[in-house]
Amino acid sequence: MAAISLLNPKAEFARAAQALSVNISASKGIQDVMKTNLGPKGTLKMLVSGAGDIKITKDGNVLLHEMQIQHPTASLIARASTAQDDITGDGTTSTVLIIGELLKQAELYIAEGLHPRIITEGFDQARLQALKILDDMKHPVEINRKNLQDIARTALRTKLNTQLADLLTDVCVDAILTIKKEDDKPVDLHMVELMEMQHKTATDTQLVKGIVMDHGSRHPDMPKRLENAYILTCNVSMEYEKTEVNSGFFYKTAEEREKFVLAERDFITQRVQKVIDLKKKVCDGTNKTFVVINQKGIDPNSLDMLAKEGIMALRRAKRRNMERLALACGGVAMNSFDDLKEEHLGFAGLVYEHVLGETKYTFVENCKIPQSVTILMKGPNKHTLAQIKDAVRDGLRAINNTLEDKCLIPGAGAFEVQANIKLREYSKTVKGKARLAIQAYADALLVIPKTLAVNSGYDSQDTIVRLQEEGELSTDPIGLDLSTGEPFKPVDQGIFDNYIVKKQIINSCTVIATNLLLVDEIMRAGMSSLKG
Amino acid sequence: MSVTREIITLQLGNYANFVGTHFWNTQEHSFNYDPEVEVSEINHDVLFREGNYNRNVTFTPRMLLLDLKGSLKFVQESGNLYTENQIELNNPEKNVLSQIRETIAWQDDNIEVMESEEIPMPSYQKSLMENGIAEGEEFNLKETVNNWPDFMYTRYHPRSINIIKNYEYSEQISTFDTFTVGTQLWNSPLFEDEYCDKIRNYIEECDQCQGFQTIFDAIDGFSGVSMKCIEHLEDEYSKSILAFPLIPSVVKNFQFSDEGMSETIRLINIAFSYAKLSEFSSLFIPLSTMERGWRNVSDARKFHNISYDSSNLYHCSSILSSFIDTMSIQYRLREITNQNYLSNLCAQLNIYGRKMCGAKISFPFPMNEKEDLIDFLDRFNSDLMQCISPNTTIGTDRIIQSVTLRGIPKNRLKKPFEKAKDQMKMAAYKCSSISEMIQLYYQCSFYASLSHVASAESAMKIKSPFPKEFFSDNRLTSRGFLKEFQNDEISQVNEVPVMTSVQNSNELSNTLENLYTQVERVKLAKIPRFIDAGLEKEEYKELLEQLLVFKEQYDDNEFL
Ligand SMILES: Nc1ncnc2c1ncn2[C@@H]1O[C@H](COP(=O)(O)OP(=O)(O)OP(=O)(O)O)[C@@H](O)[C@H]1O
Ligand SMILES: [Mg+2]
Repeated sequence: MAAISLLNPKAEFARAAQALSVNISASKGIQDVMKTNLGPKGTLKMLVSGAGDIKITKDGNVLLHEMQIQHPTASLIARASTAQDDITGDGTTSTVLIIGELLKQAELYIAEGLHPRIITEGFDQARLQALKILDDMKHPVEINRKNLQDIARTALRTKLNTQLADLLTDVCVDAILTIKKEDDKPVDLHMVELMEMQHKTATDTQLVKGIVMDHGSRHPDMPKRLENAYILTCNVSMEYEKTEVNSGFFYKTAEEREKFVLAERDFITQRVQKVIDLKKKVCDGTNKTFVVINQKGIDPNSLDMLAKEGIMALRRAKRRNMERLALACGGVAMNSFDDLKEEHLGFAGLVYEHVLGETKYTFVENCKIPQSVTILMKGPNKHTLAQIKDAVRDGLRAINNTLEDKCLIPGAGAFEVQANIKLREYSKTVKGKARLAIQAYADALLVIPKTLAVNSGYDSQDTIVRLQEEGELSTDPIGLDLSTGEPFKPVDQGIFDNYIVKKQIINSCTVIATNLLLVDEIMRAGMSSLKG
Repeated sequence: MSVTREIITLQLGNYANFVGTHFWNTQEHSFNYDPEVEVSEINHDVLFREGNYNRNVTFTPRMLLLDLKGSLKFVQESGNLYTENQIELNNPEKNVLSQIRETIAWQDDNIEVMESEEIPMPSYQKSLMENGIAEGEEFNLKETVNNWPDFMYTRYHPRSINIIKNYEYSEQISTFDTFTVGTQLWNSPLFEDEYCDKIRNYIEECDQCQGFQTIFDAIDGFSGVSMKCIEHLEDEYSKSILAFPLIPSVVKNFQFSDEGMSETIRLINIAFSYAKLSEFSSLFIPLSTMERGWRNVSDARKFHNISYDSSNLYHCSSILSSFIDTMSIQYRLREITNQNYLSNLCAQLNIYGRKMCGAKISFPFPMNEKEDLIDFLDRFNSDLMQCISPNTTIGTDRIIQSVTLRGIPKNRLKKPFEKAKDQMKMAAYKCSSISEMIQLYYQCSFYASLSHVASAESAMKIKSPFPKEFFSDNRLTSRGFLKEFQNDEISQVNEVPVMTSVQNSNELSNTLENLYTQVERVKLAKIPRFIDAGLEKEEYKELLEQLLVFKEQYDDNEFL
């Protein structure tokens, strides 16, 4: 996209002497584009392609990748941001900003003659110290609804307007509370299915305590709605297949082949009959009904047989839904019908079909103790759905991180201000020029509160000075209240970030900045890709 | 109950999409909207699905295409059929933002629009959208097409288009370079979640899916994606997989590499593709209009009765598409016999694990306008077909082949008894169908060979945006037969008869041997990008080994 043309794509040919300044200016370029993203008052970016495709995002990593960067410096930064996203799901904008700022600060000292090696060594010392400071700031939390809501709300309000963010906060927290075990360990997020429904008028998101699938039965006479349903989850073909072996060549006579075909069909019929037999056994004379959800195919003949028995049958279910269904409804996903018993079946209070345009949806609901749930997102168009889906992912990750960490870090710049103060104190204990690098590191961190201030329309210097003053006086962490521009205590407002996110930022930013400063190595990496 | 035997088509790569675009255009041109006319012998439901959109019935290919960012040009990712929510660029009354403002969940004053310049539609597409193409309207597509969306006639389901964001399409260089990069990409959410799910969505709709046609670029990173994809299909669906590895007639250098290096990278990608196809496909047929597909790719195949520009992708791809269109007829026929299955085609040809076949085409089938098939076969003694598989020559000995001849009306088989005269003297006169006669023809002309023959009455329709200039030398009648006497009368060629053959023979051993020797010579260390992308030395060895083993399948067999 447009803005990145500031980066000179031919830069890899730059001579070593120029390479450092190329790196610095490239990372500044990206920083400029990303800066405005940061925080709940940041700017949402709407990217419109030459054909009219729309992508809406406030996420640093998404934006970085939409921008299509070929420049080696930029792609190194993009890689750090992707890693940040993979590991924690958050903090990608901060990553880019801090890398940029570390390089800017370094540039000042290098201009004054400080060797890049000394700077990178100092940065690494600072990194270790910052991690200690971070550990000291840990705010232990009990795993309960309120605390999880705080972290999810903080994250979601940086991506969606308050109203929608608050709705999604509850949905995400409920989803995780529903499936999490007693031990409060992080959950397997694959067990929260995200299902999109494009619908002209509705923008809504809800939690379904069960499974929603994007397909329905394929037989006109099958029931569209069943209550008290046994659920048979299986991965067994109910489709007569014209395989390569049973075609032509291998049979001496046409009769021989016909026989084989019949036998093959009969084989499938018997399989289906086994399901019907079980259905009769468990349902006849009760108010119970029967649903088959198959990962493999079910052909029209088999559908016919099942429909005649009032069984609802779905074919080609997602592989992952096999596991989800078993967790949501109980029962076991069957790979064969040889030994099919009642205890293999799951159970759902309600199964029904919903048609929207070309797509049928099947809801499997009212499950007793669902260990897998679905978040159903409705939106009027693709880009809105994508925006919501990205946000829901962020919310779920933030909650899951909290289950892992069992602690949070006060947000709104509180960590960065505190780290700045403590690192400056620490630098005074360090001898030699490394001290300068540690100071540079301390100052670079301030880019976060500064940018938060600027994005909310406050003066950055003014804000920083007051935050530092307040921070030095207070024993509680102090952050920036974006609605007033005044220092405040984020903990009181429930504004938190994940510990793992901050930790990862500190580590990866330092590593990448170091790489970019030690130009020689970059040049070598660049050359090897040139040789390719 | 008559069941449709659906086929799902996958196109992976830029050239694959050139071929695919022609393929779907031709399909759509063969639709018959006239209720008076007898129902077609070809069942279009095999390749197309019925859907609905805004209470209208839609009919779109069961197809997924894959290309790089930037290749779609003026087409949106959701296609150009289900266009309800698409925004208008350049609307003077309502700018882009205000068109969708209400749907964006963010504070008003804080949205930044980053708009790329609008990409204009070429005039052919504009006419198509606005008022349809008028009879005789010319667009000089040969000169103006620079990518496949430019000549897209068929409209696609919103599910069909898939774009790789990580690499950008460029006219000058190819950025998506190695097999290995392609296989790595398969593990990204685009494929794991979206693409695979779309395949599942298509299959879920099918009552009796026969399998997959996979058309892919074998020379670049798409080879890696495609092999992962085929592995997935095999693993998940165990249905027939017919693959067409393509080698384009014009290639770009890869980034950061000169011509020699680019050639080597292509060679490795092709070799890896063949090795993997021998494992996961049911059958594969490499296609190219060049004589050689690796090392010294320069000579273009010549076709006797058409004039084409061998350096024009729009031209070349239409020839390959004509091959696929014709050879696939046998599993698209309405009449269902035991023969008319993709699985059957594969089983006929892939004996002893010889999954690679050569392709030949006779385009157009060079019969004179007043001639009967029996006389034509009797007199014609030069090569009937041109090979379109790279580095492949297949002679007339010990061949298994599957032949398709289309566009010869039944009454052109032979003369009726009363008028037959000399025809009666020929053994072929006893043949009562086109396929029977072709079968006999090959029995006589090929030694120790086995031919399966399918035929269809319908010729291949020639209609813009197919390059009609192929026939501009005015040697064909409007129905695509050679004129008996050259005259100046200009006739619009509306259709042509075509014959294709898919052939297996031990001569293919030479093709594989050549590929193996070439690739074995390469020092992997000299091409760090494979290793950089994550290729393990062991894996490389294994692939070479696999290729060698595959080659040996063609060597030691008594029967052929
Ligand atoms: N209500 C709030 N008041 C003040 N600061 C806040 C508030 N909510 C979040 N923040 C701060 O905003 C920053 C996070 O912003 P944002 O989520 O936009 O970027 P990010 O997390 O760095 O990157 P990503 O784009 O990956 O989410 C954190 O420093 C966080 O403490
Ligand atoms: Mg964030």
